[in-house]
Amino acid sequence: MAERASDDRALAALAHGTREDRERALETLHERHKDEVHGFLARLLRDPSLADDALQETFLQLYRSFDRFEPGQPFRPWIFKIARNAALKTLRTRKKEENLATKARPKSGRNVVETTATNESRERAREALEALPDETRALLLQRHVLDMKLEDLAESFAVTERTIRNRLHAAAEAFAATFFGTRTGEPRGD
Amino acid sequence: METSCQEATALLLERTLSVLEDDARVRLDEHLRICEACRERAPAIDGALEDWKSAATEKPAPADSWERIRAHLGDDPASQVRVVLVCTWCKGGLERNEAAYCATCLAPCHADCFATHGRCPAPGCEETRVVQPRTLARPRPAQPRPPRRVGWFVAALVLGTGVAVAALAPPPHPRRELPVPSPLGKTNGASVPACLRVSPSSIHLPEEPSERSFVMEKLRRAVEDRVTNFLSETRYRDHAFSVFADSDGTIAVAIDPPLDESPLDRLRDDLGVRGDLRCHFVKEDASGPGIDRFERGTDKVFHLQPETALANEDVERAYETMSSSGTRAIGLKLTAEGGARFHETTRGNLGRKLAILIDGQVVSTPVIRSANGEELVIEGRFTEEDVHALVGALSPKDRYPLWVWVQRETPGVFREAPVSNTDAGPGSLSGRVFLKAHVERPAPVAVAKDHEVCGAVYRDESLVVAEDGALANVVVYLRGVPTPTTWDRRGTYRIDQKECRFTPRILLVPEGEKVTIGNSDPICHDVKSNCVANPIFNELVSAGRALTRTFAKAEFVRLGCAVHPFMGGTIVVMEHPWYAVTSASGAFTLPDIPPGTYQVMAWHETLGKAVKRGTTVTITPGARASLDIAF
Repeated sequence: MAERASDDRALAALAHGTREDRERALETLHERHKDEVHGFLARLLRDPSLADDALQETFLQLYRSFDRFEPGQPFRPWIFKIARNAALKTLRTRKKEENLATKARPKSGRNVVETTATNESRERAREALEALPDETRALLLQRHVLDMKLEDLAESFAVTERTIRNRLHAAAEAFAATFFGTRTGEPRGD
Repeated sequence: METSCQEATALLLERTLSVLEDDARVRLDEHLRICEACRERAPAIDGALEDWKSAATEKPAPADSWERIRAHLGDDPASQVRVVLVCTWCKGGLERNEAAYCATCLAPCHADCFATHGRCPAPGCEETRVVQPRTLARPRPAQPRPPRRVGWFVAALVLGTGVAVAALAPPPHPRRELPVPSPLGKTNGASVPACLRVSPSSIHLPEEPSERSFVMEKLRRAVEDRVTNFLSETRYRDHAFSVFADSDGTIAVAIDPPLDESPLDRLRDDLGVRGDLRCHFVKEDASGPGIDRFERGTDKVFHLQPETALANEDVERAYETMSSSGTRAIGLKLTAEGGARFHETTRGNLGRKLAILIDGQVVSTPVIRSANGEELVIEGRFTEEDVHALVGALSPKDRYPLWVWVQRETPGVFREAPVSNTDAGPGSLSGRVFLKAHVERPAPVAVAKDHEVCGAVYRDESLVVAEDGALANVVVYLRGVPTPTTWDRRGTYRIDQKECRFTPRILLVPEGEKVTIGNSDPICHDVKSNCVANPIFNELVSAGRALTRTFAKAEFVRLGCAVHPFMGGTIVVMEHPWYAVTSASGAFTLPDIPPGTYQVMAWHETLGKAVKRGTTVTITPGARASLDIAF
């Protein structure tokens, strides 16, 4: 609660303060949230060095979008929205570059081996999670790793809670399909 | 339905994410009971997610992260905001001190470019005169302010398009002298066509008379410039106005013809003045002293306690926000002192309604659920424009050196409500309703099914007119009357469905009373409601059965039947007892009305309202008023 109030103060300074106030406020917010945001980015990007850049981009974007801040708006959904967008942008760029580089090479097929041992099926589950589309992974990360409430997720994705529920159901279905190797296309967003 | 292992796997993940729906949980449990492979898979999925979680926390942010961000703050365009002026004619750069602005559209130009072109170079503008800004001399402020504020003030003067003061040309606005408005505090005479009163708080005004009149004159001019600009920039340019400064520290703006509420709010925001905010608790009974105030935009009257629970000086900041139910709302951040006092007051009044008045009009009456000393969120039926205007009106301003607020005294916009006085006994109102307009009578409907009950041809009773034009089934009621404290609501409220007709066609029900919707036919009906304030329903009522509903909010609830689309009925949920339905002869009677002036409304299900805002009727003590209404 105290942290929330102090976040609010920092955000108010970010929105209305002088330049020095705004820098100080950004530093406070950065200090408090950097590790969580970085962990999220690293998981989503699967690459710590890319995560460092995305972290920087996230806070710079926060600094720039101060005028869009509305008082009373919770901070976590907002910062993770910015972080998610920064990461997805990086992933899109990278994918484009990779596509250009590997255009000539044929795609390698994925073989699913039937196994029964628990640790192997745990490995398979992990692979299935990693194989999900980036947007879906971001949603699952925000839900499970960051423990965000449905309400906050709805705020962060700028949709209703019902839509978030639907997306989570779709994500679970996509996961199961990947797990059993029956997935054909991209799952629908909502 | 059999659940496959793949579905079960999806459900297992949903369970871990705590988004498993109840029916899915049943299916999952069922499947896990019979499928061993899935039982073993459950910990694997949880484990994979756990791996994810623990991996995420392994990598802390790099130590130099802040330095890297800080190094880039300098390139951020947002931190170097500078508005550059460009000449509209030659497109060359323009220094602020040499800029001239078109007197109509305020397009910036070099003065000689304007002279070369001969008129305003902006497309579609034919203005031949220019204005140039000059910094107004600031009256001596009573309190030293931090330098930042001075910067803001000057910036606002230079940047604000409207403060350009006519220097080279006479003001573009036509001036007509209007009568001097009456001083603040005295009764507002009819001589003032419209009036905003800007009254600087006396603590900031110098005591010495000559100094004081100097400050007042400066303020008056500033107000005059703003009003000039406001009127010429908006579609109110044909309105005449006068601005007067009184020695008592009041500046009055008279505008003819008067402006409506919304442009007045905008003008007030433009003037950089603050609306008058007061909060009073709503009185629960009529005893003791009290004040009556109208609701904003309606004729509803609230009886309030005379003590002020919260006022302007207790508010630090106003902002736009959302209520918990997602509607538009206005947030008020209270000052430490005001907050503590408000907390103290509300603690003893939990569960009571607090009326929030802006400029003497009730904008919201929230029920105080908890005593909060920091913030107050005002919920109401606000449009986006309302919220902007009200937040603008309630925010402390530093555009003007004097702390000022506006008291609105426009006749017709703000009126004292009639003080309730029931000593001399109630009056009554009766009359008849006629159809004068030419309206096509509804044709009989051919019945597709259930002929034996509904008949082969159905007579549509949505418009029942007698031979002399008398109109039946019209709801006549008083508009905007508050719920009386003594109102015996007891009664049996039943609307039946008989021979495929709602009987009675129109049922009057007090708010919060139980209504029985019966079905006396030997066939099924499906009652559906069409309403906004109350929950809608659509329920099958089988032969001889009934359903009960309670309507909490006053509203006209339209009823229909999904099986028989030609059926129609209305439940009128009343907030006060002064409602009546006309009989077949078009007659109605509203008994026991407290004396006063009322708006009488007449509503018909297909014709709508007879007069949009109602007909004014004055009820005198003990007398019978009569009123005939024509559609």
